[in-house]
Amino acid sequence: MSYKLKLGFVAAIALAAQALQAAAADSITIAEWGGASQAADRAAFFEPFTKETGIKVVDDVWQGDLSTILSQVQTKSYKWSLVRGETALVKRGCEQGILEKFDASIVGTAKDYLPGAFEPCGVAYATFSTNIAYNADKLKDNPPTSVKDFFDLKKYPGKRGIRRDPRYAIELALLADGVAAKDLYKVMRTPEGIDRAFKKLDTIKDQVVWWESGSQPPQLLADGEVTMSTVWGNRIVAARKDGKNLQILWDYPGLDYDWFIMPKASPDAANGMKFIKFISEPKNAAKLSEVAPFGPVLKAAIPLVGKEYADSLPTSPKNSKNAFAFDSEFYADNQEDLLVRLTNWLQK
Amino acid sequence: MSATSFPAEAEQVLQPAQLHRAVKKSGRKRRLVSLALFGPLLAFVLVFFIFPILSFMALAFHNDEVKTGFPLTSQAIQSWNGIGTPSEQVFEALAQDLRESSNPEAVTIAAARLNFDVIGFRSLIVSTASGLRQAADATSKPAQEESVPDGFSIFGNATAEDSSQAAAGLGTPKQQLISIDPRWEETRYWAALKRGTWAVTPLYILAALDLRTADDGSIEWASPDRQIYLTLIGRTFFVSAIVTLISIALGFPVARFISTQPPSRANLFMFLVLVPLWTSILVRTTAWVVLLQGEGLLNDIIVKLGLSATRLPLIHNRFGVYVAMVHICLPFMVLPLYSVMKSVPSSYTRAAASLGAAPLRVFFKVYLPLVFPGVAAGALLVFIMGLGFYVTPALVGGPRDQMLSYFIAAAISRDLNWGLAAALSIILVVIVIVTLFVLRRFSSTAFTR
Repeated sequence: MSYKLKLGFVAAIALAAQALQAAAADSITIAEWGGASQAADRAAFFEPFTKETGIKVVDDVWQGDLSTILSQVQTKSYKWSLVRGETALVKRGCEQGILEKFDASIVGTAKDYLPGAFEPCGVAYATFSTNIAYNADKLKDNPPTSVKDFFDLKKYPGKRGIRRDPRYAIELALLADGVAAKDLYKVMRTPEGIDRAFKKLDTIKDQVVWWESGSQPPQLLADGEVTMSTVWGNRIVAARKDGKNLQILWDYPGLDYDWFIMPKASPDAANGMKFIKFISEPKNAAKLSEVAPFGPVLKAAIPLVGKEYADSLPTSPKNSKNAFAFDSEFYADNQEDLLVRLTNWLQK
Repeated sequence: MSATSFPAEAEQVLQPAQLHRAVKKSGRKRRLVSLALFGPLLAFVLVFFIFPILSFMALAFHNDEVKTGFPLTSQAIQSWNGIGTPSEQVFEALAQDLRESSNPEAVTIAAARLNFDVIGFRSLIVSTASGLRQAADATSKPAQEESVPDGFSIFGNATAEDSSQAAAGLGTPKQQLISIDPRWEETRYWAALKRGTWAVTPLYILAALDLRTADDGSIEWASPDRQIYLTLIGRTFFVSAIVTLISIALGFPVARFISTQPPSRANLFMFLVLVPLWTSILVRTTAWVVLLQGEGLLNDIIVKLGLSATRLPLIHNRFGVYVAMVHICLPFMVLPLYSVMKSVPSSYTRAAASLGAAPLRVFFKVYLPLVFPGVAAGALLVFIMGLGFYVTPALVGGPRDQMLSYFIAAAISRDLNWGLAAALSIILVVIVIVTLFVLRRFSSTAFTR
């Protein structure tokens, strides 16, 4: 290689690096869970945000594995500016010291939001539901009406889909066994309560198909592999848009918040906060609820959601009449232990 | 030839000691040169392979979270004899650690670590810390009722629970802590805290073997409804062994067939064997889901042909795991087998046959011993690969078919419990080493009779 050529090469690399840096300066990367919920955020937030600020939003996908954030923070090689997570993840990540604590005052005070929407490491921006869903083509004569039907193999023969995770499986079993929603976590904090839940699950154990990824249950339901399944509500709404006749059963939905969290000492913090501020404008926050069934957390955004959308939200009065909120404090303590217990129970 | 046998010529030859030195000297040079050539590789293996693996495995015994999070308590609790509750000084140290911590994250990290030992310890620490802060903050007022729009009171319980500390400002540190949370009267929390100050912890290795430390320091079985890992270890070993046997049974004829083909055709067949390696494991596994599921292609064909009236359960069970795993592992069996078989001249078996050996005898006495190194290499490769499978069993297996690696991955990425992951990895590595040892023993004695 001649000297000139070498020089050209070096210059080209330097230029490319500069171009990359420039590109990085006005773009942020947001990791979400893929599928319908990410598409909703893209339509409601990413595109309007880019239009308003000129900051590009690059999508990425993650699976809730905090270790990927941990490794980015420890090696200081940041891939993600913001990450979408549920309440338990926000809490765990914050306690493990891998999330940026941010000044929430730029988006208002805790009073402007639903209770529990403020954590040191994030502000919640949406509510989502975990539900039971069924294939309305197969059960059209006799649709299920309560969580008890999920455990009624005589009236509704066929397989059941449940996420291989204690969350919602335990709650569902206890609710179907007659525990009131307000006593749910009081019961679950006792060993007898957990025993009772597994006893109830025993009654359908050999009919259960255990799913892991949120895209599985709509497919299992549409294929007729299962008669009913626990699902993330928004996935069913998305599947309905694709022409699949799946229905959500609004009996004891489990509600949780969605949050944006920031890896600790992220170099994109400034642009990340611009994004947080953008989605905390009431009119922008309300937009998400019109794209997909995510309820606003910002009180001022609630009345701004169009009437035709408001009724389908998990937080609408009709849908949330007997809803309960997942107790992230309970799961922060017990998640790992319950998973061991669930695994043990599944081996038997 | 040694110098002592020719004493008369002693002047002309070197003395034994000198000779020894000379040999050593020239040898040292050569060793240095070879070491210099070998050095980079050695350094590479050490730095990028041995060191990271060993330091990861060391995490299984790592135990400094509590010492970092509760420096004063860790010191004070050393004098506690493990009976009842510790002295007033320890309570005071704990209150001080919680109230005045310069590093609140170290406290929550220690809390998560303690929660793995005693479930509920995390929230005990978190609620006690916030109780102490509220008591210390004289100006704090009771939380105001928030106005929540109609239908949104579901989330109300999230804030309502943090108010269990009414009289937390009164009395000695012991009374104060116990009034915030009566669990501080229980010995097991203090015992776990003291175990947390040990130089190394047996916690993770014990947990990975379904054992735990009792409060009196003895080792006991985990409660029967929480024992999972021994079953998993046994299953991982068993499934890998079965997959290895099936791979030998399927791969041997294939490799034998290809090795007898003329080179051009053999290359084509080898190419076909290797093609699946170019697609990702995830894609290949998902393809099996499509083929094997209840409403899948294979069941459609079976029902159409009338082979079975009902659709067969081909997936989400052990059968599906074997099918998908063997499919992925087979090339790794065929490759070493083929390369060994190709090097065995066909004249050997022909010679044995012409000397009157029956086909079976030729196979077992001549052919198999010659290709056995290939079988052993392939078996080892497949077996060790099989031990590490987790995506495939997760997708095509049922809950009774999950393997150890799945739980290692989950402990690392989902639970951030690297101590447990390291302990499980150590167990997996021990299995591999023992297998290697046994297989070497077996293969060196198998055909030398």
